[in-house]
Amino acid sequence: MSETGFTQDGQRYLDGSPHGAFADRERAEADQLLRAVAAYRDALPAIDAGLDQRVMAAVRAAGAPAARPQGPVRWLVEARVRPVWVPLAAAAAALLVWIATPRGTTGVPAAAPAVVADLDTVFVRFELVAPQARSASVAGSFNGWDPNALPMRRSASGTWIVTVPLAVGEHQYQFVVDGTRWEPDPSAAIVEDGFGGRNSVIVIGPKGLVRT
Amino acid sequence: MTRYSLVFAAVMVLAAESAAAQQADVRARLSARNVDASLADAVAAVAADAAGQNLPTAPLVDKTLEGWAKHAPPDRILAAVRQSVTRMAEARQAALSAGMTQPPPDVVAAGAEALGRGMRSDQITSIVRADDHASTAVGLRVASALAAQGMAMNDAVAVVTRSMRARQRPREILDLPSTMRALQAQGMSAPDIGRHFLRDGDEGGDRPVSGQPLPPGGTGVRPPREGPSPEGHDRHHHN
Repeated sequence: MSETGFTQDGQRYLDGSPHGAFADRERAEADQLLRAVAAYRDALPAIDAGLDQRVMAAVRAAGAPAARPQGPVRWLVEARVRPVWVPLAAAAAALLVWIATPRGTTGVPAAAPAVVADLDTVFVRFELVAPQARSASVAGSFNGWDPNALPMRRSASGTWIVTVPLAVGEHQYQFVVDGTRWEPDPSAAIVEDGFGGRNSVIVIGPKGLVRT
Repeated sequence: MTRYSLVFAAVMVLAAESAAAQQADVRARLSARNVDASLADAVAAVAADAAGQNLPTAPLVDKTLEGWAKHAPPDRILAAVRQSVTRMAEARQAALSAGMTQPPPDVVAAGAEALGRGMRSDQITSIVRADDHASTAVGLRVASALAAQGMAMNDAVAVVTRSMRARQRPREILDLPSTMRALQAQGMSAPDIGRHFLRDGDEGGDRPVSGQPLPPGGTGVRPPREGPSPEGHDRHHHN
């Protein structure tokens, strides 16, 4: 596994490139990531037809790019852009950082969004420790509060995980456990939601979140 | 009929058509998520009224979708939507009184959210006046986020306005909540963090608030970690 949590074949799969065999579990995580990016892409406003020409003109005017780092470093700092992500190309780039499993908590929702990227969009990985749950998802201001849009995947230890591309800025969210129970994240700041519940709040800066 | 009367009539027709289109758009967005038709109609009517006051309607759609997803009763959802309109109107008025000629939707929405978290109108005015409006929406969001993390609203507004006056970019201001989170993880209380940020600024006049200097022997901000940290023993839970 690389520092990002994906094997080389997994990274190629994410890129849409030819790849060798890799574990089903890793493939499931990659698929989930791709679905999350697709959902984010679909939520973006339409881009006018002249954008490509303007961007390319700006690129040409800027001259040759600086030398790129090689090897794993290159993977870490470059945007992961697939052909189908064209609308995201100007903004989307990020890298995943391994999020540790919290210790000593069971049945208590706990998220650990933590990403680092000096860009407009970062991938944030949410974790929920709920071994008894049958399903879990994240719903928030970033997905129209749709409890079905971002299902989480259960790890062997009972931690539910999902990785979500989020724009730099403030976001509110809750976990949805077993399809009906809305739970705020106890590790994040909380605000009243106006319906008698409480939303968790995260603010993602250009360096991502400081994990605490 | 004079030329001015014709222009006025044309403007009125266009405005009415625009409001109707906006109302239809709100209804369509809510219907797409299977929101009850009568609730969608009621929210669309409120949104049309809000649009007539130059208030954004997207936050109203979002609030409705949030309440609907959480299975809140329709009357409670409608009340929350109406409260959003009231707050947006207050936020817009505060921005106008601070000299912002046409408060953009993100400023109005951020101001409304801030009011909901305890910010006062005069504090919105302070933030609007803190720079040339380049960071107003971010400033409002960050101040209310700092308050949600436990900082007194007065301190949060002071920290943010100081950063804005120091011409920090919006992206730099957005880092303040993470910085506060890091300090909290190191055991510093919210009031101490506020004082720390403000003292940091005091030492250099309008120097940007960063919290970066580590107090001798005390807590301070560590740079965000930029790499895997598989242990995670430093997780902090607010219970």
